[in-house]
Amino acid sequence: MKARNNPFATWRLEQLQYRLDGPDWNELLGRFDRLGRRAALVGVHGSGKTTLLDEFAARFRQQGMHVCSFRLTQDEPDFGKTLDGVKSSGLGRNDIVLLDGAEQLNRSRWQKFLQFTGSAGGVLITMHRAGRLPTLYECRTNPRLLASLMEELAGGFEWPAARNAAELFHKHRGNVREALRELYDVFAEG
Amino acid sequence: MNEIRIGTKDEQTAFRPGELIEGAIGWNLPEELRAIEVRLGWQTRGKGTEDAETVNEIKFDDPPAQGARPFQFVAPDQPYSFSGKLISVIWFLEVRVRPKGATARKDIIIAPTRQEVILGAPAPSE
Repeated sequence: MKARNNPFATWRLEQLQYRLDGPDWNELLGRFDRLGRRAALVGVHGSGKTTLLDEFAARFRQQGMHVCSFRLTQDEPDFGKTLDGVKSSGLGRNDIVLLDGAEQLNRSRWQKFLQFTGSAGGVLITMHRAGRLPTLYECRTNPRLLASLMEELAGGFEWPAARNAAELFHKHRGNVREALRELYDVFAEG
Repeated sequence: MNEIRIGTKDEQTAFRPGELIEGAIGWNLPEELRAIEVRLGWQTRGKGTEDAETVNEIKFDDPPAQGARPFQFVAPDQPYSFSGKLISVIWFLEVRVRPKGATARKDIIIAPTRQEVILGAPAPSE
């Protein structure tokens, strides 16, 4: 199959919306306020934390907040010069800082981050484990979720090979993103 | 009515590098507009990080709420429209309305044979 027609191509994965399990958006935003607007989204690799954080960003913008987003990864575990522009202007009550990948910061850099964001109107981070800030929401995955995403992405396609969502889920230890990437290869070779 | 259209002359959707891409855009929108932009660009689709580039753009400032404008671009030399298993390069024409951000888009092909190059397929005979 041509890459542009592959139902598991990156651009299609990026269009998936996070599926909240339990609370609705009003409850989540209310909980964020009650936690003093300092909180964390927690979950394992590939559980949708970044997708959910992006959706928070859109909602904060709708509220008129100014969103400062940072993303740290194993390849780029530091802020580098990205903080310079923000530092010079300072953060105010209308600024919300979103940090994806907060586990990349060691203890001293985490303390500096807290100091830097002290005057901000909110801080929301993602972490693989709970601990650094109160947990606002835990991103969980299960085979049913994976099956549902597979159906949404490839419902109208003829599958080149039989695939069992539960097996795929366990093979990737709950990492839904990796499971969906494997399905890209199934269609590419099919 | 909330409508944006983009079309090409004679409904041509495949072009050789260097060929003229002629077309027109039309719109009928309820609110005041700051600008309308027509872009020629390409993007990748497939597995992994995707890339995109706008190679040419025409901007119409302070347009009326309803209207139409012609446009012309020259099809660039590269990259060719192509598809493999891991990546595709797709050329497109796009209309973008400011400040609202509404868009219309038309995918086109730019390649020497006016056909998307398929990686792994036999080369076309001369």
